Amino acid sequence: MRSLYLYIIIFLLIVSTVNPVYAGDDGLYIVTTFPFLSDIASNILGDAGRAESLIRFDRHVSTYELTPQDSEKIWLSDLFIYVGYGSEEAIGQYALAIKDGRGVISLREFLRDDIPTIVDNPYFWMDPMKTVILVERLANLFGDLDPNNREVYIRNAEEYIGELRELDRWIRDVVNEIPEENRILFSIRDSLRYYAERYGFEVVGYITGGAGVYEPSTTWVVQKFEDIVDRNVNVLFIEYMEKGTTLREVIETLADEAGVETVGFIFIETLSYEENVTSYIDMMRRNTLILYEYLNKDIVDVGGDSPDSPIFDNPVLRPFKYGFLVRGFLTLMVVMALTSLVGSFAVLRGWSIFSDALGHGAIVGLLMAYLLGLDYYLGALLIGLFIAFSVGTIERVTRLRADVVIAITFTSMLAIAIIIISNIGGVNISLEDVLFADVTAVSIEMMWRAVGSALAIGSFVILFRRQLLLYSVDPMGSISLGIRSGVLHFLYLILLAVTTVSAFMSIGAIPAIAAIILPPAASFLVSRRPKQFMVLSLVIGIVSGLTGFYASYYLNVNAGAATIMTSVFIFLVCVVIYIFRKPPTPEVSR
Amino acid sequence: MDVYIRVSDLTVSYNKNGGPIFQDVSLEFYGGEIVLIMGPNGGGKTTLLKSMVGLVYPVRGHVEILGRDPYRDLDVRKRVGYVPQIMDVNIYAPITLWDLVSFGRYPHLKLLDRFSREDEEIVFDAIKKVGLEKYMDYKLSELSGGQLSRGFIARALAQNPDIYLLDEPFESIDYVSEQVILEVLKDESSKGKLVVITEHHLSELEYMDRVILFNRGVVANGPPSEIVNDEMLRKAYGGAP
Ligand SMILES: Nc1ncnc2c1ncn2[C@@H]1O[C@H](COP(=O)(O)OP(=O)(O)OP(=O)(O)O)[C@@H](O)[C@H]1O
Ligand SMILES: [Mg+2]
Repeated sequence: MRSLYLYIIIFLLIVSTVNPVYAGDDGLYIVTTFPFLSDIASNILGDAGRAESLIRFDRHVSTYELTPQDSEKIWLSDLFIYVGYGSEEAIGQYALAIKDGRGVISLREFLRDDIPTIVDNPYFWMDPMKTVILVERLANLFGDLDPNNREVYIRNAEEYIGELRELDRWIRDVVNEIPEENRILFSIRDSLRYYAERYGFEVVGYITGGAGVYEPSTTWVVQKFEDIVDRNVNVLFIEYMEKGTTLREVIETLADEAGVETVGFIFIETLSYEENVTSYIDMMRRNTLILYEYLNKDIVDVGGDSPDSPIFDNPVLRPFKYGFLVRGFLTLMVVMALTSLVGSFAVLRGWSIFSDALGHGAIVGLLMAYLLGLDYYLGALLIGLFIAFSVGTIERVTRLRADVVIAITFTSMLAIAIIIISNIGGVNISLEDVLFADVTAVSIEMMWRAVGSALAIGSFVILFRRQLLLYSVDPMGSISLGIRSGVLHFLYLILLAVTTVSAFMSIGAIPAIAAIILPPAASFLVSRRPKQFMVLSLVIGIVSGLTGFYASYYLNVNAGAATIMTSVFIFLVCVVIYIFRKPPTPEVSR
Repeated sequence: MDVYIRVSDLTVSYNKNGGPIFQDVSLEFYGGEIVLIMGPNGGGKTTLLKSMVGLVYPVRGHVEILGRDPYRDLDVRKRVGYVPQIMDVNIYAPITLWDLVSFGRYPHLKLLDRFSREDEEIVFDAIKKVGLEKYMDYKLSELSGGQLSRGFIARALAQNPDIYLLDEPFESIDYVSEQVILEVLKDESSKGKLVVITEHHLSELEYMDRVILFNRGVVANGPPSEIVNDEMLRKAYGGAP
């Protein structure tokens, strides 16, 4: 990202010497972030100008990467419009940098006086009458920028406002047919608040109120579950932009647990050719029809399997009240055991950075999986194996140190990912989100995958522990002792790849990397014997997971992060022990 | 006497374009003898030993160990106790001297086998033979250089191989320990095993059955009394590359 700024500066230097052609002659040229904004702007401009969005249809804003062509569009535009929240705000920041602050508006600032609540909740356009305000103000602004066409803009705006009023009436009519007691909304983001206020719905809940990155805590998820059950929410709505994110997993998990339906998709930010939602008005109509279809039904009682057994009053057992938490716990334990065991060989061999490489390299895998329509797990795994194979080969052929080879591999992977993403204008999954999976939302399938790979890898490691140990501490010796080191070398890298992928698909990338490195590193400091080293590493891993899980529940923090912090704490204790350790004396005997 | 190692017309090169380290070397080693390979730095002694354990692949010719090809048959490598000149071991790992020596037993253990009482005794015995029983619980990083070298020799002993290939094993080992270890090796050869040592000192000649002067090829090969004289040594060392 930083290099982008550098690029922008170079670009500005070049551009400022070529004298850009201003769009002034053939009307206004407006560039926006979201497609629905450029749709609105186009309706005001009519034939007197042109509007274009940077984020394309069917693409997720968080995967948007600025390209030189887009920078040029921003530079050439008479006005750049963005809303100013979440990752979309970053694009606005680029625009401000490129245009040196002139001709850029953030709607959150622009409409602050008209819609004061915009500060807390940006999704004002979900109320068509608020969009009318935007249209009126933009028409005036366009008129100021291009006085010759002022009349045209005002006329177009009036016409469009007419359509918006009609849309508003239509929505009202449709909503009126939904029984009043059914008008309750639960979705991933707090995206329907303005809509609810205008048309008489109640927003019962949402997974996150914020618009940016979100890491759920166990308590929070439990709270949401209880809301669903208490308020008898029969359908949970999924925003189209959350199609491929962890938050969707969270809401699906909750729905499964409560035995209710999820509905995809409602459209908030993204327009879609795939789903045939190609304008702002389309979007509002589609959402209304979906709400009508799913809410205009008889309400059934949401039971959920919330056992009110007294054993759950015990603080130790309380976190296990719900099935999804038991799954999360089991997955976390299994993954921590696996990573700390497999990671111990990586730490011995100096390969621990490999997990880091995979964490980054897997973005390419997820991207490929998305483009080819494969399973994400499979995509990440394939790229993991590819990285394992290339690292293994380059290391053997060049005899460069493993860390160098690994660093080369993963930085190039990351570069490839960014090249693809910027070229296709982003994808409709949030890659960070896929990587930041969370244990509180582990599906049954994901849990079995984790358990399955743990069993397979665990038994392999235990069976070949001697060969692995010998190969990791004395590679040359293992060759002369007749071990098939070539095979072992690749097998181990494959194990490491599978372990890392299972870990980050279930507990998230950063916790996964930490889980592979931290417990063995802590154990390394205080262990003298291989067996002790491995057992202690396993214990540290499991204790960290256990502490992380309870901390997540009782302290209301993210489980993955709490697990890392426990490992870090244990690591620091081991550093202290290491500093004050007693040197051995020759009298010691076995 | 049985031929334990047969090297026939062996040519070894590290890279395709560079010239070979040595060409068309043929040698035989027999069970029950101790052989010293002597020669200047860079003469190719290490390369010769490595090609015998399968660490360097020959360009031409072949090696037979106990009648088998060590490049194809990995199991035969288990019958060779090799002590490298430069150890590539992570000495900071949580590995004690005991663990290092017990690696020597690994070739004998099947996947599901546990480390038996007998294995433990063999390991302990090997450590005692190199005089390190007091240091068994030391991590490798807590040992001196010479103690570590002795540890590697103990590992080869614990392996209980038919053939010992020791690449300058005494480089950092004190005189007394060297004598002790040579006695152990003498004992092993009297059990019918082959011991091959590379070295460029003359101190241990009395233990040797045969000396091979080696400098990019075999310069001389025979009993110490015939081989080790000024003329031969000048011939071998004078032409050092
Ligand atoms: N891995 C390698 N790649 C390229 N050349 C090598 C390699 N190892 C050794 N050589 C070259 O092969 C030649 C023989 O080296 P070798 O190690 O066999 O000698 P040596 O007789 O064991 O020497 P010393 O007495 O120093 O141990 C040297 O000239 C060296 O430069
Ligand atoms: Mg050498």
